[in-house]
Amino acid sequence: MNIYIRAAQTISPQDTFPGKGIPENIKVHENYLKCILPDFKKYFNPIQLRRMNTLIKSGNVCAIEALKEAGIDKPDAIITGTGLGCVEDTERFLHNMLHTNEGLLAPTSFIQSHNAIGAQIALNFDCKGYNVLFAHKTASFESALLDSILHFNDSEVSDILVGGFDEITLENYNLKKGIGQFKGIPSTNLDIHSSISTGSIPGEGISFCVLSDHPFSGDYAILESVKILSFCSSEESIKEWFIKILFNHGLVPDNIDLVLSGLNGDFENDKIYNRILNCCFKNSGHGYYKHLCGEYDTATSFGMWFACNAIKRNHIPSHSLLNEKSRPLNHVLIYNQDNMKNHCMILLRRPS
Amino acid sequence: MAGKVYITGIGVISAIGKNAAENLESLKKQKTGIGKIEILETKYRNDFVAGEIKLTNTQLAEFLGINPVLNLPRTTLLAITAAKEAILNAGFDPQDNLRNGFVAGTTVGGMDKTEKYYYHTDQNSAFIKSHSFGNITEQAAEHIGITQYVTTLNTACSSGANAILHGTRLIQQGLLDRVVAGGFDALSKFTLNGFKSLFILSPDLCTPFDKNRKGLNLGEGAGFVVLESEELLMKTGKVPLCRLSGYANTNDAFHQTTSSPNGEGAYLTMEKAIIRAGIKVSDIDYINLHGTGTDNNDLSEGMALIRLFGNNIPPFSSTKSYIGHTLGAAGGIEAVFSVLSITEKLIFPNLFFREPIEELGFSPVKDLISDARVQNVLSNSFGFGGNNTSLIFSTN
Amino acid sequence: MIAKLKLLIIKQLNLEDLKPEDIDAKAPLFGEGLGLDSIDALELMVLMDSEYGIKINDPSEGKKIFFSLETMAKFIEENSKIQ
Repeated sequence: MNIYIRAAQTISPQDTFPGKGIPENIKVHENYLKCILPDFKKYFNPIQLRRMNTLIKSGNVCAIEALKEAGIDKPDAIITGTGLGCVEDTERFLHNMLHTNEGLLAPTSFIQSHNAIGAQIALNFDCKGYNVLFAHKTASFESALLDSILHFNDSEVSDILVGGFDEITLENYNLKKGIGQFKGIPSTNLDIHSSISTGSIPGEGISFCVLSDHPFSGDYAILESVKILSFCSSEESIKEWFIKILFNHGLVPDNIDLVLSGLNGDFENDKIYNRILNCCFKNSGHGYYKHLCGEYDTATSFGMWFACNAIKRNHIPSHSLLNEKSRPLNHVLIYNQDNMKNHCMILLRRPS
Repeated sequence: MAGKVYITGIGVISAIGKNAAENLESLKKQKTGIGKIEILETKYRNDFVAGEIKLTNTQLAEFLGINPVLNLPRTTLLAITAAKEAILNAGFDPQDNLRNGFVAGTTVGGMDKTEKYYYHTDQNSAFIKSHSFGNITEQAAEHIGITQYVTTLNTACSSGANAILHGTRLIQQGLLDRVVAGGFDALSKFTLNGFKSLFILSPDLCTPFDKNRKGLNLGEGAGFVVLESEELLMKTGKVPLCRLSGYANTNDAFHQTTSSPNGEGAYLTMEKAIIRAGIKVSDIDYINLHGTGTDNNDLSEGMALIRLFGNNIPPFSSTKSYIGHTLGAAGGIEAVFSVLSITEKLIFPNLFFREPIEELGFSPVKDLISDARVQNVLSNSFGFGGNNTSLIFSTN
Repeated sequence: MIAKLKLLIIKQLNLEDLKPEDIDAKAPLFGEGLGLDSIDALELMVLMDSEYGIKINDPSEGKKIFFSLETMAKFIEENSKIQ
């Protein structure tokens, strides 16, 4: 059974929403990337908006546009991934609790700390189907994608809404900058590619796609494969991993027209991408996307949106290219890892 | 196409014991682990009771042979304790050449350390990295030695059950040979205050499914089962404990935190799980309820029982009267209790029950039933966000 | 009092796009009218405490007190420790 990507939408730090392609001009952000938010009032009334924090509002609006694009009223299942969930509300409740020394606390920011995005989408669309959230660092979105494949295989479903989302707050940025996880020197998203210092350049985003078990004209791509290897510190083993996966799909590395790597500005972490790409995929086009969205646990959901649009238009802007190899985009591979953990691969193929 | 999935090992730590044998003893003796809060540093230790594990983090670490100086989050220590026991019980080497996975559910993550050091990063800043849900699972996976596939789910109180559901599908569809699946959560001020702000904490011992129930008691712990494929068992010749025969997850789509009055989500989920197990409704011998002791859950779940079973509701109980509501761990711990129900032929009672809920008119099991016919156990876990999961455990 | 209460409710319940004139002081707040629910009632209990020093310990008391803005204002006048 093939899985078709029927719709793909993203709310990001670039002008991408709704339904716009990969931007040719990059919006520059200093130190960390924040999303360009849509006008939520166009989608919800004030009473509905009261119970939704920014992430929930964005997730719901993104889902609405994805379902509209796919032309379906209600998905059969909703499977999502997030690294940290509703950070803003978690901080709010935590501060209130600590400041008041466990005084009388308002509940709204507590109840949003859980799987509220998927739950709110279910509420809005009256969707009683399978609905789960994966929350495993940089493998959260891939776990959700993998689960959608499992769900297609064993349940009678036709269309699944799959999403990845994470938000960054100033507070969270400062905490992580303080421990060196985020870059400590002033920088912009344009510095990712040429970075020679440690610390990534963080961002945020909300991306949703609609996967379907039957084709339709206008589909972006076929979701060929999703693979996760949780711990592996050997580059040789990673190369073998790729070769084995591709072999099982009747492919060799040379068949991959474009590899999108998770370069994030931390030059120590980024070294592996250059080595793997130049060794294993030396004849393929090399590209990256986090200069548009920043680094966050579910950034590969933006990467997949990027890849879908690249395949559909058979083009990626020059600012995303890392080498001179330009080939018709039939097979695109997205590879991401986090300090040799959570090696994740998404393989897309042009629909015939 | 889908092969059978068997359970070959169990591991659990809760307020009624630090391993499966101790938990079983307490279940048989009808001895609750809910009591005064002694370890969690909260203003409300005299106002609420909880299913607290009476072991400090230092004691947990020492028991595991981990240096306490590492100051690992309590959730990590609980997860490792239960996962290690499950692996030992199943008798396999996590580093063997098979495709092993570790799938866990949690709601708290590393919050116990985060809330302690949030305003004291000069004392400890490790929480900044360890806070995230996935990081705890990763820490536990590194300690137990599973490296191939590790992931985390967070669907509030159904997290542990959904982890087992995910693990089952990975094996059925041939992606993995073996999965250690379940859930873990530790008590934290954050969750205590969060549930307090919703006014659903009972100041006394919880009384699930009772007319005069006043709310839930929080608990903590970890529970894991080892899932293996039929194919693997045929090669090793191992005799499993029981089978994971059915599962389902649906969404109530009613409200962010409350369940629908007619128990729609719960009803759909239980029905779907039974259909997937290929059994009849009348084949269920025991239901381990979600049964938190709140007004809303128990009535909603009760209505769903009536809709599904009619006048023939099988024996049912909530073991939360023993250990409290362990949130993300609940699905995992209660899975272990469901397995024990089958292997020991026991039906556990619903402690502290006095009077049935008026609208329902039926009662849970009040005393331990020994030498019971237990061939199929239905275990429910329902979370905020209308997340409803049911698992079915069956004899081999 | 009613005017101030409207602004406080708008803030506490995060109804930022609602204007005071959109809220009818006599209309029911829950079920119909604004269509608030049990979580909003808990938020209003926190508001009573933080703004007026009035402690409501049982959420079920909220049904009567929070029926409408008018009933809320009356309750505050009868119970407030702060003028």
